[in-house]
Amino acid sequence: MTKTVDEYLERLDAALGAMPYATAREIRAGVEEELRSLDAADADERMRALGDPADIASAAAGTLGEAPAYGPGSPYAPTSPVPATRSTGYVVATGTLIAVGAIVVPVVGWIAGVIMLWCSSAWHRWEKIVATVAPFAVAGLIRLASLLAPEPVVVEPRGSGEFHAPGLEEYSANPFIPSDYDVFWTSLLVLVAANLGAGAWLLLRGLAPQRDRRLREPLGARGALGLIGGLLVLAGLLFSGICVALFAQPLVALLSLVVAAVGAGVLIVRASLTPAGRSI
Amino acid sequence: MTADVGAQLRKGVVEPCILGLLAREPMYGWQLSEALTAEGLIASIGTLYPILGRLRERGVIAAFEQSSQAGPVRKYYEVTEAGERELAAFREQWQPFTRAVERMVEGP
Repeated sequence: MTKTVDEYLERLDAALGAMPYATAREIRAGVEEELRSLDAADADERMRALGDPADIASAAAGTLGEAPAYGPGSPYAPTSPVPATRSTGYVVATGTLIAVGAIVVPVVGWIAGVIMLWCSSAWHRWEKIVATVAPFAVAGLIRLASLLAPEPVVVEPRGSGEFHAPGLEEYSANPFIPSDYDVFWTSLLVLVAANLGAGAWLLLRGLAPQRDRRLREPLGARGALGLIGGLLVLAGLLFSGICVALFAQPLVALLSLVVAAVGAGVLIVRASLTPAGRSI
Repeated sequence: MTADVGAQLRKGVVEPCILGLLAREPMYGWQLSEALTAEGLIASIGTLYPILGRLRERGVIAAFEQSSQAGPVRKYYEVTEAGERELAAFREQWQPFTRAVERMVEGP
């Protein structure tokens, strides 16, 4: 069975060779999805019903060559103009504001970007959530790590000019471990950098071709679990890495790994849910 | 529709027909192809996919993946808000149009 189906698909691939990649891929995927869902006898009958792959390809080529009956300029049906919030200019403005808004016009610029983001239909809901929350999550983790950082050590000169060997307590502060002060400002820089990344990512996703807008945008149980699980795993791993690498705090690192494990568990639970309505 | 009635006529209505089918329920590729070939609106599944591509580009249909009854994940198509508007506009124009044509081609 699978052999005949594979042969048929090979012939289809050969026939579709000259076709634009997007169309060829759609046809191939549609036919394969149908054939693979049937058992041997039904698949044979289906292949007979589908006909010669060469005919499928020539029918497709014929349709591609036609001028469309509808669309911009056609008098027969109203055109569906792209809404303003999905236009290229809007997408670019939103992405740029999120990326650099906080720097160019402090705080307000970024807020404007976020408002534009949530009013737009150019992004799926989960993309909006990630772009808004992730930079703060990352910076927040670093800030949280600052709780573990030691106070900056101020070394007071002792005595009245006599030379003396430095005491143990003056050398116990490790200059290689960032202090509270350092971590706070680093986390702000991280926030700015993370927003740059979020803005760039929004631009990439928003300007990508062939993005379908579905009637309802269900985040759904699966989507929510994916977001939560993914965040827990990333946060746990990142935080434990910081604790070990910077602050040598194995206990806290271990706790973070537990958080990451919980996140992984959430993702496993999510995998057992059947996918429903995942937008492509 | 017989083959003689003409490819042009079919070409004009196949997109609204797809919208009409999908407005009732989302369908996957083969399902749509069967429904349309049964009425002679398309020649084969090869004709269908480029049209689906055009409809997606216009934003009147959207694709999504879902696992079906039997289990395998399939790519379904559904109509969007813009698609429902386009379908409604077509419905409004279709009735008077067909009545006018009928009156004019009616034999003695």
